[in-house]
Amino acid sequence: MVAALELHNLSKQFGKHQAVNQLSLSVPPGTLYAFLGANGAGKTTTLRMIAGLLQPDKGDAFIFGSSILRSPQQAKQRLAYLPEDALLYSKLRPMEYLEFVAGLWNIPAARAQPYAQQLLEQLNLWTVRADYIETFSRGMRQKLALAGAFIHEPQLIILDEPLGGLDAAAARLVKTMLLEFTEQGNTVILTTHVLDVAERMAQQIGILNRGRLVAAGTLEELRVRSDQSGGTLESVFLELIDQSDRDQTVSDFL
Amino acid sequence: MSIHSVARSFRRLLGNEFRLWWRKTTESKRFWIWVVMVGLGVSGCLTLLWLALDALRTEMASAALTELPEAAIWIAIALCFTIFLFAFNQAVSESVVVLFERGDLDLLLSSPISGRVIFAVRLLSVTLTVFAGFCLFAVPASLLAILIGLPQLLGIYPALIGICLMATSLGMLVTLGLVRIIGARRSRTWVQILNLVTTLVVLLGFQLPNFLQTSRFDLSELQQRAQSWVAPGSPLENILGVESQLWFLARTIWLDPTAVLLTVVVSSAIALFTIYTLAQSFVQGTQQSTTRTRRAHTRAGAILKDGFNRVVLTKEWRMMRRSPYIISQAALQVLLVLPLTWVVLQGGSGSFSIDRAASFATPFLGGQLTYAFTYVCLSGEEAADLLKSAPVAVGALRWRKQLAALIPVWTLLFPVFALLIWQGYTWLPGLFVTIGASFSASFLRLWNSRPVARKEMFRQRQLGKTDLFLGLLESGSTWTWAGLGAALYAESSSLSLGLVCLAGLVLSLGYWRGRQLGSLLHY
Repeated sequence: MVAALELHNLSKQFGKHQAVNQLSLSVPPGTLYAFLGANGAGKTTTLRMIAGLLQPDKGDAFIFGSSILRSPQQAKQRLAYLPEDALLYSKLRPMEYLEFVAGLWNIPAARAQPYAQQLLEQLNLWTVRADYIETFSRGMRQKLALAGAFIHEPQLIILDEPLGGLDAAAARLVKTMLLEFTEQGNTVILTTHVLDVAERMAQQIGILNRGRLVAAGTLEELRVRSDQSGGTLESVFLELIDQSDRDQTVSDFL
Repeated sequence: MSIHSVARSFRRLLGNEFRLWWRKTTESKRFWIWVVMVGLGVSGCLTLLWLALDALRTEMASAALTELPEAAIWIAIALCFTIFLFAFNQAVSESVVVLFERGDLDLLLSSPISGRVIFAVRLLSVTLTVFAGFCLFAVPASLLAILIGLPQLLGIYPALIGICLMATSLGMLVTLGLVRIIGARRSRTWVQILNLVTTLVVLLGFQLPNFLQTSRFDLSELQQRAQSWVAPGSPLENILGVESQLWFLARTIWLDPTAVLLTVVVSSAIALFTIYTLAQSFVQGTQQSTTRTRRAHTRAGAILKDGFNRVVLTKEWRMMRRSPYIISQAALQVLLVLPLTWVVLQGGSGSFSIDRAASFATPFLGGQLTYAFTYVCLSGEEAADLLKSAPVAVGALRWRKQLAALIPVWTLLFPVFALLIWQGYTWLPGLFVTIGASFSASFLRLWNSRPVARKEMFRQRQLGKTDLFLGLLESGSTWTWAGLGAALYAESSSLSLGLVCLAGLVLSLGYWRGRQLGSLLHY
């Protein structure tokens, strides 16, 4: 079976700072994969390279077998990317925004129309459909951006901190939508600082530190690796980061 | 609260306002260049005038000006109207900022300082801001007046302060009303549009006699009718005549003591009423009305459109239609076209050649509009990440954005050509160069575009953050195409060929510079 996402030695350097260092991994379809890491660990850079927004210095990313570098349009057709602070068109209304996104992905209007309405209703945005996006709160904008990610029926969604700015009810709604999406055989890659969310939702977890993937696997596999049997994801995460820092210090010394 | 603490609060708040004003004023990169240039220019002019007007000064000093000539009052009235219009415009813009956008009123009103003190400071700070702008003209004018022996003209200062205070008071009340009706955000948009349009209307108003002279319109008849309204013995003489107290501001310019007193009383009364109204309105919660939004209407859930081309063009046009920058730019250009259209309809007279004017003016306007529209479509893209993550070729997307900017330009200029054809004038050279000018403008922008936040579009120009080299290229291109239009009309083939080469050179320079910079757009 073709992996939903495959990274081969993905690397990116900004000046002297190595943001992402030879990152390789494979995510099977139907998985919710969480990237964890401290600030500046390289999570967002990785996601932007996968989404084709940033050119990697080395390596490649494959979306369902299509290279994001060699056949970007084919790869992007099955992909949706939602940045942490989604920038939307301030002077458009929600339906107009969804129409534009559906058009970019060449989704026939007859198919997009009912789905757009369903998404807006599901995300409690239908009542504000006549308002310009500029009047929306951060949470409302985040929900609309999520609707935009879903409207073109991608098979892989990449989300950078998707729950930021959402109230408890909206966060729960989004989590449910993402879980249902993976249950339908689709794939979700997300980054989050809320470790509880990753612990409860993710089937696979990757921990990034200083641009390197220091550990990846299910929560159980990470527990074994960190000698934290029965520990929470928080303790596992901190232990693995600690180990990685110690290894890095030794390797720098040698 | 004691009078001392009120005075202290007043001083502190005014000091803070002054600091903010100073930072905003000196934020522009070109501020100090302007100060030095204006200072040197004014000093030079005054020295020359001092030397040149020696004879006149002696004559004016010996002939005491006991009674003002009627013409002097009418000139002062016209001046007062113009100043008031500009002061009102600026006051409304500033009021939107200080009352609603800056967002510090909640903090101030929750402090123990009286609401009236807070709004008095706001009113005074806006008045001083507006007054400071006019001082650029008033200071040299008053110095000149002293130099030529007319110290009465120092009355420009009380008159100016009175006008600014009244204009600011009225501006704040209008802003308050606008915000209550349409909300703060839309008020800002409409204020920006109003500003630009008023400026142009005033400029066109001054040029109106010239326009009228080129047509078959009888200007003298209009003048006679206006004079009959204020002539001695007419029913309106007491109200509109030169002796009327209605013109107290104009008389203040000539330092008439009664008029000065009237100016102080009237402007202070209006200012006090404004302060009282503002304090009351804010206590009653005007801010709440600013967050009110329009309720759903039927179009909001409209049927979605199909196809990449259609959705890109529709989205760009929606964004343009809702952009205050575009609306103001288009309104400006349309206002510029109106006199020409009027002259075409009137048939023209004398040596004025309508088709020559059209072959020069339409490429000029086409170029200017294209720059503004392409600027919004290309540089003002708000969701670059979305476009970059979409499965579409960048070139295809940019080309559609260019087209989205060009189609409205051609649509706006189409009526001019339709009129020319209808009236039987030469239209082909104008059409040819207009298409050339708009394409050229569009490509210059495409190759040299850099992202700009939409809400910053107006401020970019104010802060001097515009691309100077691109500005030169754009001006060069516009004038070259406009010149080509005139040359083609005059059937001067050598000049036309030279201008075609020049237009090509400007375009090549734009392309070369674009290659040097690389694409700065994030999509």
